[in-house]
Amino acid sequence: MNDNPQGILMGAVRAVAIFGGIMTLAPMLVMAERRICAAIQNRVGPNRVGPMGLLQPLADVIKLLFKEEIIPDRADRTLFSLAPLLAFAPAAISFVAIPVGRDLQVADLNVGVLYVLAITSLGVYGISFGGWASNSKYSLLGGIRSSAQIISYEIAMGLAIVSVLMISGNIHLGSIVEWQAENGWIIFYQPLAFIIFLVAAFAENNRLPFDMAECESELVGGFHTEYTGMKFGMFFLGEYIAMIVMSSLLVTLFLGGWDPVFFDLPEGAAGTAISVLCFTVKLLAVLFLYIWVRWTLPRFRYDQLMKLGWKAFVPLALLNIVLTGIVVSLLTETG
Amino acid sequence: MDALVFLISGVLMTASALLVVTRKNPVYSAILLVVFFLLTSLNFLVLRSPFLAVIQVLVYGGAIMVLFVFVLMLLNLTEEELDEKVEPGRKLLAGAGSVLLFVLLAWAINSSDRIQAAGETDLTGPVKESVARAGETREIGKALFSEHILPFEFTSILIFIAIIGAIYLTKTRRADHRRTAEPAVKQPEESA
Repeated sequence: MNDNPQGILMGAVRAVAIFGGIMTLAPMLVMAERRICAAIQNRVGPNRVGPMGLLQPLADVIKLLFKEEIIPDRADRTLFSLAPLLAFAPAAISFVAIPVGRDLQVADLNVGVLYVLAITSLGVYGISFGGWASNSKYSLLGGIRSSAQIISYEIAMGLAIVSVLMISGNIHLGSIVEWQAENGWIIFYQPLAFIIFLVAAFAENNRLPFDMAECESELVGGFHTEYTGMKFGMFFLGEYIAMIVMSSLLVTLFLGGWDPVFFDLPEGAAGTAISVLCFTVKLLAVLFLYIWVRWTLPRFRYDQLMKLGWKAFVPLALLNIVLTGIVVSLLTETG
Repeated sequence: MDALVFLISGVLMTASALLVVTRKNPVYSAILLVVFFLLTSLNFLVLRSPFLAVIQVLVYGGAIMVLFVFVLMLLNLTEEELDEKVEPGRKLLAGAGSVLLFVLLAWAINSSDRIQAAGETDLTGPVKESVARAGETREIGKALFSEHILPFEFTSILIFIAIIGAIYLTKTRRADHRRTAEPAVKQPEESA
């Protein structure tokens, strides 16, 4: 535990800077999503507010803030108000362990990977309580569907991460990145785990092609059907922050984190700045993939989604662990 | 610092545990139980066991309780069902049972050799290296796969049996369902 005042101050500065960073990135991501979607569909997209429509996210937030809050009569008022917070907070808190640059994260945790997994797994409560408290059949079905989906894909995702940990021999996120800086990105050692993790991340975030929770044609809006104003905004923001967290974890575990690949980082502040830049570029590339996939692929059917998770991904991930174990133990014995 | 965290979390834990059993709506009980688990995990952190703390949240908070909430949401009990009266005799019996369990646990923990040994050790100095490292993931892994390998394997067999049982129960029910549902599905085909 860091008890000296300077350390605590630096920690606070880091926390505010990184939290501010993702809070700025999330609305920009919504904007990027709308513009990229428009480009894919041969439209122009929002371009009226500010230069090139860049102030659109600000306008969206102001609109959400001033919208009338409606709570359904038969809803459970306490849980109805609590649920958006429960969906938003875990996503934001789990980001603290992600190393966004060389030696730069809010909290340097020894159990990094497990911490991120544990906290993100709490996000499912916001969705399921939101669905239940609304007291509407669409919301309830949406909430149940998405919680079943999230706990199913969490297993495949956890198993995919296990094989990464077996290769790098560490659960400390910073050490995993350093291992990759020395030995190359883990995606080349574990392509199968990468694919499983990527698809599971889409499912965890309720993104197309797995957005069963808010399948418009069947469930109106899913768990947030009854939500308006800033409460809806919290769900929306939480979803995008969860997306950023998952992408960051993907970059850290498989794509070398803040490592710039082609050259060695210089010492001191300049090196740290370059490492943050590298991380951001990789993160934006993964986020672009998220958006690209969403506007390209059609939605899965719910039974197909569950079948894919349990009958394809979980056995594949288990097989991958066994194979990785055999290879790792053979290599360590001979070498 | 550690003692203060323990004191505050201890009070909050007791309060949330009491609220779990006194809430009428089981959904609220479930939430409070999650709060209780989070506070337990905080105590593991104070005891320098980050691995146990994270596993507590991951397994109990993120997996087991989600399934509980799932069932509660699917049941979706109405007000009348929740108002069902419990006979006073049963409440008394349950209370006596919990007190008995508490006394037994307190006696068992108090009389264990390790606790008695811990009572005599000097806790004022800095934490010993071996003690501080015991909570690390690597150390726990090593202990599980060497010193405690037998109980560990027994637990996995127990879980395996439970999985087989769960699959058996769901499979047989589905077969029954299909048998009764079949004629109803076939009829419109014949008429067409």
